Amino acid sequence: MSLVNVNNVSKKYGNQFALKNLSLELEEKGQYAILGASGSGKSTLLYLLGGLDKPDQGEIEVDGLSLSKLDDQEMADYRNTKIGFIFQFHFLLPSINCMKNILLPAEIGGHKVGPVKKQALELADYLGISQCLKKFPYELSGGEQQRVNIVRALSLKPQILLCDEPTGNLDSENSQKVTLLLQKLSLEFQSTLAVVTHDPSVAQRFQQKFVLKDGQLLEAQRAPDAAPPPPAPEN
Amino acid sequence: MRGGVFSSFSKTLIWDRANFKFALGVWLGLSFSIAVILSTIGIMDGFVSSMKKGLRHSNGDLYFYSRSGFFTLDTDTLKALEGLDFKVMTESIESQAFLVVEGSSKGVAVKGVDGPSFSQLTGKNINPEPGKIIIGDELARVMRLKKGDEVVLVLAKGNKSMEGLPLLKNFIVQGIVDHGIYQKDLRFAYLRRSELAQMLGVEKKVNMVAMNLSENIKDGNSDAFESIINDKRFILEDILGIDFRVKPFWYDFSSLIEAVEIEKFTIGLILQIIVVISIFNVLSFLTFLNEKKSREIFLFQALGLSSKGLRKSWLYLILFLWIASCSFSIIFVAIFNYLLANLPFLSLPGDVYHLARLSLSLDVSDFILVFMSVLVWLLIIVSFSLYRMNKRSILYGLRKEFS
Repeated sequence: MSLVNVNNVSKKYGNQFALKNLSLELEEKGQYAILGASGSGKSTLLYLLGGLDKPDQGEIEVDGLSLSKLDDQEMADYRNTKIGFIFQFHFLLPSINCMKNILLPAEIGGHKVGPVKKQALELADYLGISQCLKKFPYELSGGEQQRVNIVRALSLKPQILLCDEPTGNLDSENSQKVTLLLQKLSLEFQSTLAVVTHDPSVAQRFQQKFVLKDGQLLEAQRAPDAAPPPPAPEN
Repeated sequence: MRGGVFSSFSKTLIWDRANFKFALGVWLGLSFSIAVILSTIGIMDGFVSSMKKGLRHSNGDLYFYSRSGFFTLDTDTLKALEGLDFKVMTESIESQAFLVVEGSSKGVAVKGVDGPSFSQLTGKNINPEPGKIIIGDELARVMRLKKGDEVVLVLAKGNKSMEGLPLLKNFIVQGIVDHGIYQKDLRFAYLRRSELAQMLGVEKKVNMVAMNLSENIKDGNSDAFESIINDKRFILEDILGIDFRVKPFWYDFSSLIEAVEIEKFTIGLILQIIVVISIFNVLSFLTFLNEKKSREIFLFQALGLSSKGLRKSWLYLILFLWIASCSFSIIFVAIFNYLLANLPFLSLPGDVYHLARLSLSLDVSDFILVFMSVLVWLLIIVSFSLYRMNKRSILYGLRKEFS
């Protein structure tokens, strides 16, 4: 079932088209890689899907909701509850400890912190970073910070998990591990996963790929030789 | 907005040492500028209230004198005055004399008083014994006099005879009194009324009557009190007739007091400039934070903070700064008040200012007025910038990261 519909979307920055007449669909609980060279518009697409910006032309519908019709507060609520962001540079606030960083989306959205904290503790334990929660981000390694980032992104069980070059700072071995982790967690949390990457080896792990070039969709493919997605965990 | 979000937001903004120092400087600057306005208003109010207090405690609440000089009050007048229910009424004689001590002399206003009633009127122990004199503390300092010293008082005789020679009489200094008004401390000397009357040859006549109202109002509540005094004054004038002048205690310095009140208002307006300058510092600080922390601000928005929420965060930060500045300005004012009362080089030339020392006098309405005016300036100056900051795209902070 289609969760996200991108219809003829264009986005311009200055005189430059970042996206031009782009159309694609993301299915519920699907896992997608968005591949392209630098400047192809893949990050712009991600930000539009995440409600961080609005297209100049065209329409983006998420779960029947037209993003261009949302006002500022509704868009903020959309980002808070429906989207989980994982950025390349972690973006953890250095002035508060990791647990507070993880609880930030819940506090911003006015959600009850108790259940979110409980889930965060469980997930942190699963990811092996329980001991990091009381520490400040600058006390952690890059890998630990990325895992805290992941816990934060999943704290409100988002419908869509958007990852902007999550393995950009990692070596190939850790890139594979993080990619596998994201795929596994998105299945567990029943989130749609979209990963922006320029790394073909990361993109290979996804059944569905969108290849962008110069702001346009070059191809949408299912690679026959891609490794099958990991099975959904038994509840 | 939850307290947790604001706490995280504000911690994020001033986390860096440089940001923290900037915040500290802005806070201290705004506190100090608020304190300057409060202190200026306080000094002026303090000047007026000190002066009025000193005048009230040396003249009584009201006094009257005759245009034709010495007088006695007839029975009917006395009865009418009793009917006005004054707490205390005292008669006195005032004249001019020279006080001579070991060859040096000084012109003084010599006052012959009935000790018990005059002491009750002024609240000071001014009850001269026969052959003794009580002088102001400035006079004592200038003439280097202390209790027990002998002085000579040189008076012109009353117009009972035309002998032309002054009258000299020795007195012992019985005590030294502090009026709180420099001029009075420098010029006044007190004798027993009957003694001065004999010296002047005026028998039982007096040339001044002073009284205190029975209403018990503290010195600080001047507006209500002065209104009551004026009412009594008009009644007294009706009773005494046109030969008499009835004056309230502040009469001698009324022009000065009025001038100070007007100046207080004008200077208060001008000093707003200092506050405005400090607020531009606040504006610079906010602009600096908005640029330097654009990445962190982007993150808050990416995680779901709306533009309205972001505006609220900035507003809460400004309000917090305002509250902190107002609070700390009270400490600055207290420090300044202490220094004003205690540092030697902050004493005033009494012959110019009539008071040797000032203290700040501020009531709640002064604080509220100043604090609220600062808040209004803060909101006016900062709101336009906040509006412009909010207009910026969310992705600005992200793009800055990669620029």
